[in-house]
Amino acid sequence: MKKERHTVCFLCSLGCGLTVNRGEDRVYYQPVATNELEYQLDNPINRGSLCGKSNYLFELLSHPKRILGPQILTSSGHRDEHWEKITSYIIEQIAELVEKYGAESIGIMLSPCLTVEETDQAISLARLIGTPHIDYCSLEDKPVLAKILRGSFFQRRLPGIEEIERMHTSFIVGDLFGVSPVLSKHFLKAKYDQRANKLIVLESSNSHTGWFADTHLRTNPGTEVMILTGILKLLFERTGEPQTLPWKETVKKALDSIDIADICKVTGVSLDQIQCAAELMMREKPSVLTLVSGFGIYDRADLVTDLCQALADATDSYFLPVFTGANSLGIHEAIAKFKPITGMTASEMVEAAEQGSLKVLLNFGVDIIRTFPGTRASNAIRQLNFLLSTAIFPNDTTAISHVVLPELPWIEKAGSTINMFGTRLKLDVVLPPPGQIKTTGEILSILIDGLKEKGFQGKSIPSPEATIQESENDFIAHVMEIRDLITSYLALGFEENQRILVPNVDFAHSGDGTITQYLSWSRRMSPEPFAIIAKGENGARDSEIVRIRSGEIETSIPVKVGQRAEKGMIVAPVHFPQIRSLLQWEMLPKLGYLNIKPAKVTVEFL
Amino acid sequence: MEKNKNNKRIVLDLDLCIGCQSCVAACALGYSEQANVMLGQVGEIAILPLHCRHCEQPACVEACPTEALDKDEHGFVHRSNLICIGCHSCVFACPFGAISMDLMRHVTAKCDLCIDRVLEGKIPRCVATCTSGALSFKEIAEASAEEVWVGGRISSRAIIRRM
Repeated sequence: MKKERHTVCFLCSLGCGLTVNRGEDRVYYQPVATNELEYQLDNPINRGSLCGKSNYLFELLSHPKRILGPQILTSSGHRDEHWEKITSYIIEQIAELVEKYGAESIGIMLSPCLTVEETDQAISLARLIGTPHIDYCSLEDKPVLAKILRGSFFQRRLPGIEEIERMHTSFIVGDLFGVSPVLSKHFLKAKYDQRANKLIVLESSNSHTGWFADTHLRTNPGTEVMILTGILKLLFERTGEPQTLPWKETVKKALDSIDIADICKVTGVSLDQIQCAAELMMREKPSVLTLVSGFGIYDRADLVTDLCQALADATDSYFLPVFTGANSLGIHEAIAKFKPITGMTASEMVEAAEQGSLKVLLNFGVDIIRTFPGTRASNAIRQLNFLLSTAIFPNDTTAISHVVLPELPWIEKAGSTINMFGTRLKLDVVLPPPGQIKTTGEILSILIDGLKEKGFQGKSIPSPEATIQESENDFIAHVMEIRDLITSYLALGFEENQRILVPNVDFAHSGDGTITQYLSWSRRMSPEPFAIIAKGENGARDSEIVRIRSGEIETSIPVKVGQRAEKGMIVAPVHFPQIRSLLQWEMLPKLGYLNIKPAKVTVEFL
Repeated sequence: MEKNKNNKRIVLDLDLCIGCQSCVAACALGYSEQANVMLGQVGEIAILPLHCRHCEQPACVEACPTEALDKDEHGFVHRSNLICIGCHSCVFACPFGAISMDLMRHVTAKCDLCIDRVLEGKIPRCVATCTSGALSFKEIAEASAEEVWVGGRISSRAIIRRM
């Protein structure tokens, strides 16, 4: 007798449904057979479609490298330990260090693969300990999420899947079909099946999404925000004042200080093209603006988000932010409600660890070393007095963690998640977890009970009275920042062997690739790092080795000659740590997160 | 129409394919890592799946020296892995290039239209998983009736223009 069990894929924030059709007599540790995976043709989100990675999702369950039990760090490496002993050890450590350094020396970091319920429990733990430092760590999504949930003066209108299929104009910022291929079904349905929807794509490299564009705004890397500003400016100048935008006068005044000729010069996109995009957005209604959060693709992703919101508002369009983290929206909303203003963001926690003010980090599912580019994060978390990490697979962070606990993929846990459309999806236990693995929720409740026994009573942490409200003055400040950015890009000089490194988040992986790297499909699609350069540059041929240097970091990898890259550009998949480390980043002090941007690199052919 | 004959075939809409290769992933997963969907590369960027047509008069069946390939009563051209000697005759005979040169476990990759699923009334794996809706499983008559329209869309936006 076969029984159908439904689950949700956790590799991106779309939340595709899939079914396991498994006989009752089959025991857990028999890997999911190929005829047991069934496509949910009636699922409203994906209608049966799954990307290459998702097809291979069940491989994770019986993967030989999976962490199956708690481990403790000893002088000779990690040693398996019993659950009771390890939980009491963690509780003792937390109690001791809180007494010694105070509650504020403890930070909690959450991965976007946790469920909404687990996030709530983690917040309860933070309340009990009395620390305001709790944040979720997905550097790709962070600037976008922080902005859209900030209570800005723009309206936030999320479309539904069926609405996307009825759109007349779709404006896509980033490589949407590469990051979330299943969404292409709905956008292309609008383009071909319905009413010849117009597709405008804003992307610097020649991506998979760019193929389908009616208007491909192929801007120079890092200048996306300037194109968006240009479109907004033209909306005011050529098509009259947008009625839907609040504070029209102020916005117009701010935009007047920017010269459209400078924008054309710095982005390399002609005025005609920018105007064409502006007119399509204004006239062909309804329309949707989709922003793909990208790791190091945009310079100042926060400003890109701001301008996208302004543009969506000015043209009365829907705005759909696409995240790489599965439950990014759910976790961020929960934390935003709790988080006091004094609480540190994930990036600030790493900085605090570096300075020595953060002593304990309870890390639920994040590979911190892989997530942050460069070696700074690795050096910072080595200084911690106590580092707890949970993970499905061993990674660089678990290698130096004092305690490692196993994490479960969504297939094995119950709860709920919120996808990019704001829809709450229910998760069922499709297959029971192997052995004695506890879910993160169970671990958290054990810790909470244990700490209560130790005498922790919880400290009242004042939650913010209201979400931080952005005013029109903030928007003017943002436009001024964009103006400065244009000036700095105009002054940017290039030597002969210098290029811009454009990261690509390709089909084979999403996000930082900490989980997807274990799928045999990902290894098959891109087994090792490579870089794509344009044809005819330096007479380079396929497989030639190239040395890329960014600041003090350098790496040697083979090149592929392809049309994905434009002249003056080098495109490389960002999920490989050696490429990730080449990206340049800076801390945005006011916002508390990193600005990771396309790096200016030196390229030498060996 | 013959009884039991399967008149449905996998149809690719060239306009919709985004080249994500999820059809290859689903096929590889269903056939022990040997993907039966070939990839046709047009220029550098457009990568499109190439499926076996399950021809009316299959050249591969004629060419097979060991009679490993056979057109069965359902209309499927399928191959017996035990009889196949991996001689590549079918690869050269196929006019569409839908059979790969690569050998895996001594046999070439040959699409059987997911016979296990189709006979149960389901659609092939590659069609079910297709992310952009480019692949469909249709009656041959229905697909050829659409041809003019599909052709019109292609001429308006040829894949050559993607490059």
